[in-house]
Amino acid sequence: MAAPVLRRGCRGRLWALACVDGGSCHGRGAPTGSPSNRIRGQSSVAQQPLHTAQKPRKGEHNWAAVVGLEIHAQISSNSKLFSGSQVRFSAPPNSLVSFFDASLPGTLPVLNRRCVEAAVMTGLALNCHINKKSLFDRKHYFYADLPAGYQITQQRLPIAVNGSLTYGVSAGKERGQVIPKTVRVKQIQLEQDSGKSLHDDLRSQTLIDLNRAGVGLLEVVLEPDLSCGEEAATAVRELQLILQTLGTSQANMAEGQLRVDANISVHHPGEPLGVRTEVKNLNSIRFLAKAIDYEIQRQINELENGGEILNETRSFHEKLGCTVSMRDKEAKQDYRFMPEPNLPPLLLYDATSLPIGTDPRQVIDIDHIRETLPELPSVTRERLVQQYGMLPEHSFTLLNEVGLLEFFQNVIKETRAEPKKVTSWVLNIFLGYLKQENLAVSER
Amino acid sequence: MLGRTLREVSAALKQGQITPTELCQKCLSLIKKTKFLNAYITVSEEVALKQAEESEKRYKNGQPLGDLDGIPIAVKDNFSTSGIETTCASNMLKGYVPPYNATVVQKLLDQGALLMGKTNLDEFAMGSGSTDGVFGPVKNPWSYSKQYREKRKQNPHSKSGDSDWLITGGSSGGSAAAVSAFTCYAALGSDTGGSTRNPAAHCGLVGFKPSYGLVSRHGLIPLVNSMDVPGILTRCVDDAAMVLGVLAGHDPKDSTTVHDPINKPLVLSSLADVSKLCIGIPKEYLVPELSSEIQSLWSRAADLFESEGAKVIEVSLPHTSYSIVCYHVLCTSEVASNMARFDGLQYGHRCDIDVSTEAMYAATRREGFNDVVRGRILSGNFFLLKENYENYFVKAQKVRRLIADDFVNAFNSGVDVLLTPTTLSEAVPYLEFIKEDNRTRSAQDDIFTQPVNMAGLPAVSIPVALSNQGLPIGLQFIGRAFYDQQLLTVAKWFEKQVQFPVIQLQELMDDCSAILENEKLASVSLKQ
Repeated sequence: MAAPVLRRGCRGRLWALACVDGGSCHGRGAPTGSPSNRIRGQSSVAQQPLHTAQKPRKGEHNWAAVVGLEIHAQISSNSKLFSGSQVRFSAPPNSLVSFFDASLPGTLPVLNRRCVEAAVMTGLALNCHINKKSLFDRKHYFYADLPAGYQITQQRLPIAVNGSLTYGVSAGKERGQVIPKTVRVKQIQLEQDSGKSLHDDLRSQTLIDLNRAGVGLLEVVLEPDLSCGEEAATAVRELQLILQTLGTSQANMAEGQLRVDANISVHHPGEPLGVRTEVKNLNSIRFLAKAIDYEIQRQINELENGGEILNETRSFHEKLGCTVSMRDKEAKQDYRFMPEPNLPPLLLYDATSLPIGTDPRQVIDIDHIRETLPELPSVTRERLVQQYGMLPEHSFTLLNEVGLLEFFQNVIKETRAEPKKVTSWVLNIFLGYLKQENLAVSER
Repeated sequence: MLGRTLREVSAALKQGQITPTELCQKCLSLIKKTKFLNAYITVSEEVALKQAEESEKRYKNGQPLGDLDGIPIAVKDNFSTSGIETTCASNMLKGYVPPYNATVVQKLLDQGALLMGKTNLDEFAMGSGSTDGVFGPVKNPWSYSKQYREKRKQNPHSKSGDSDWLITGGSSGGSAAAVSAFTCYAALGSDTGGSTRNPAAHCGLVGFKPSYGLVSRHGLIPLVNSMDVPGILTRCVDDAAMVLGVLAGHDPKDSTTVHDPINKPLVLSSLADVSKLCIGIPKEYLVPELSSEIQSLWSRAADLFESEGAKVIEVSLPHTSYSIVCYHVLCTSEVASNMARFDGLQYGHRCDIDVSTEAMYAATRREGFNDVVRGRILSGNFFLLKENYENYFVKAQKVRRLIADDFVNAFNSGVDVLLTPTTLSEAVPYLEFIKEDNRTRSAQDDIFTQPVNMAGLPAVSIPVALSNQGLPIGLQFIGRAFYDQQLLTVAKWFEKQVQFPVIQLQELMDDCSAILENEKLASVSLKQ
C-alpha cells in the first residue's frame, strides 16, 4: 500500500504524490460532525486504504466533486508590474509605494518587461499557447486596499491560454509506480496585486499598507478537472515547483507569494454540474486539501438533507477546520470591466514575426525564451529515474525538499557508492535526521 | 511689452530690452489688476519671481536655455505641479499639493519658462463654459474690450455693473482668459472634446490640439484617457509651434506616446502659396444651429483659399451625427473609471464620517464632486454594467472607429486639411449660458470639436474676425494624424491673411500704466 510511504518523513508536508486509485475520490477524507472527528478525518486522508474510498456515504447515489482552481503567484521581479517601486517582503509599511501605486491623479502605468517574460516562461512551461497580442482591462470595485478603485488585469485576452499541468499520482498496486494526471490550464493572465488591510477591531479602524499594491501577479486558472483535495494539493505543489524552477515566482504560500482560491461543486455523475462555491484565503497546501475536502462533504451533506447550495464565497477557518460563509462579500459583483486605455495592446514576437533590425530590448521573442527555459521538474525526475535507477516516487521526494536534489548530486559526486544506496541513504537516513532535528536542508 | 507675441518678447529678453524679473513683475501686477476675471486659481508669485531671478542670471551670462527662457506662462489647474496646489477646480482636491510635475510642465520649466500660476476651469474639465468649478466662473476679457463695449454703446471705462459679462467657453477658460488679458504669453490647456479650441475661439486666441500620442499625458489629471491631450493657447500660430516643439516627444512614463515623429525645434515655414493645397469642407458640419455670422465667415474663408489658388472641395463625414452621442457614452464611462480613485484615503478631501469604509467613501465623494461630475459617474457606470456593456460601450467604440475612418477617407481622397467652424456662435453672456444645464451645453457646444478627439487628430482654432457684437469668432483646421507641423503651416498662412485685431483692453492698461513704463498699447500687427 502506498499509505505508509506517504507518512515517512512527511511531517506536515504534503508530497507531490496523491493516493488515488485513478478514479474520483469522493466521500473520502472529508470530515463531518464534531471537531475531533475532523481531526481524525484529516489523518485518515493519508491512511485510509484505497478500497474503502469508494464506499458511498449514507447509502445514496454516487457523488462526484468538481474542483477548479484560481492560483495567484507573485512574480519574482525587482519592481512592480506597472511602476518602478521595489518588490520586497516585510518592508516597513508604505515604504515601497510610488506615486502610481498610491493612485495619485495623473500617474500612468508603464509595463514591466520582466513580468511579461515571467508570464511567457510560465505559459511555455505549462504548454500554453502564447497570445502574440494580449490586452489589459480595468476591473472595478471599491476597497480600501485598492487605491485606484480598479485593478488592472487581463480579462478579454490574456497572455497565455489552453495549457496543461501534469502532476504525479502514485498508483496503488505496484510500489513506486507513478501515474501522471493532467489538469487543463485555462489561461494565465498578468494582473496587479492589491495592498494589505489590517483590521483593528479595538479601535474600529483599518490600517492599509500599500507595499504590495501593484506587485505583479500571474493568475493561473485551472479548468475544473480536479475532484478532491489531494488532487488539488498535488497539482498546486507541482505548479509551485515549476514556478520555483523557472524563477518566475518564489511561490512561498506562507509569505503570500502563492494564493489559491477553489471553486467547488458536487453533482451526481451524469447529471448537470451543481451550484459552486468559492473558497478563499487558502494559504498552505495542507489547508488547501483540508478545505476542499471539507467543502465537498459539506455540500454533499447539505444536498442530502434536502438543502441547497448557495453560490457564495466562503473562507477557510483554520482552527475549526471548516469553511465559513463570508457574508459581507456579495456573491455577485459587477466589475464593470473596461479596456485599460493607458496601455496599448501587448505584442509579442517569435523568430518568424520579429521585424529585422528591431532593438532586442524593445521586444520579447517567445522562441528565444523557449530556448532558454531551464529543465522542468518533470524532466528532471525522468532523468533521475533513468540515470540512477531510482523509483519514481523517490524522484518526487528529491525535488520536493528545497536543496535536497543539489545535496544528493553533491553526494553522488563525492562518493563511489552505488546510486541506489545513495538514494536510500539520502531519503531515509539523512532526511529522517533533518526531520528529527527540525532542520531544513539549507541549514545543514 | 505684454501685448507682444512670445517670439517678440523672447527676442527682447535676449537683446536685453527687458529682464525676466521686470517681465515677471509686469505680469504679476496685471494678474492682480485682472483678478475680477477669475482666470487664476493659484498665483505662484514667489515661484515665478525665483524662476525669473535664475533666468536673469542665465541671460546675463549669455546662456539662456532656449526661446522660452524667462517667458511667463500659465498652466490649467488639472496639470500636476510639484509643490503647487492642484485642484481641478474641485472640492475633492482642494489643498492637494502634488509631489511631482506633469511631464509637459517639467518640459516648460526645463526651458526656463516662468510659471505664473494655475488657471481656472470647469470642475475636472467637465464643461464648455468654465462656469462649473468650485472657484466660480471665468469672465471673458472681451466683455471689457473696447470693441465689445462700443458695440453695446456702453462706457468703455466702466467695470461696474457688468452683470452681462460673457463666458470664456471651456473647459480651459482660465488659461484662455490669462493669455487673452496679456497676463502671460502662452498657457497650457487640455482638450478632450474641444476644451482648448472652444475657449480659444471665444477669446480670440490660437487654440491648438496636438495629435493624440504626440504630447505626454503623464501628470494631466485625466478625464478621458483615450481622448485627452494637453492643449496650447497662444496669441499667434508661431508661438503655438514654438511651445509644441518643446512639449512634443515620446515619454517613457506615458505608454500612449509615440516615438519622435516631428522635428524639433519646430519652426514653421511660411507658405508662399497655397496652390498645391486641398481644403476639405465637411458638409455635415453645416447644421441649422450654426449662427449665420459664423457660417458666412466659414464660407468667406473657403473662398479666400480658393481665390489664392487652393483647391476647395466638399467632403462627407457621414457618421458625424452619431459622434456626440458616442462621445458621451465613452466619455462618461472613462470618467466613472477615472474618478474611482477619489475616495479620500491617500489624498484629497476626506469627510468626517467614520462609521464604515463604505459610508466614508460615499460621503467623501458626495461632498467632493459637483453634480456634473456625479452625473457623469452615474451614467458611465450604467454603460459599463455587464448587461449594458455590449450595447453601449462596445457599440460606441465601433461607431468611434467609423468616425475615425470617415476622416481617414477624407484625407485619403486628396484633402490636406479640413476647414470647419469651431463653435456654434460667439461667446454668450453668462446669465444666458446657465439657462441650460452643463450636459445640454456640452452636447451643443462640442459638436464641431469632439469628433476630432474621437479620431485622435490634430486641430487648431484660429481667430478670424470680430462678430457684429465685436466678439471673436474662430474657425477650425483639422489635419491628418501626426501632420501637426503641416497643419500649423496652413494655419499660419491663414492667420496672416485674416489679420485678426488685437483686443483693446485700454482701461485695464490705463490702470497699469502707472506701474508700467510709458507704453501705449496700439494695435500690434502679427508680423514678426
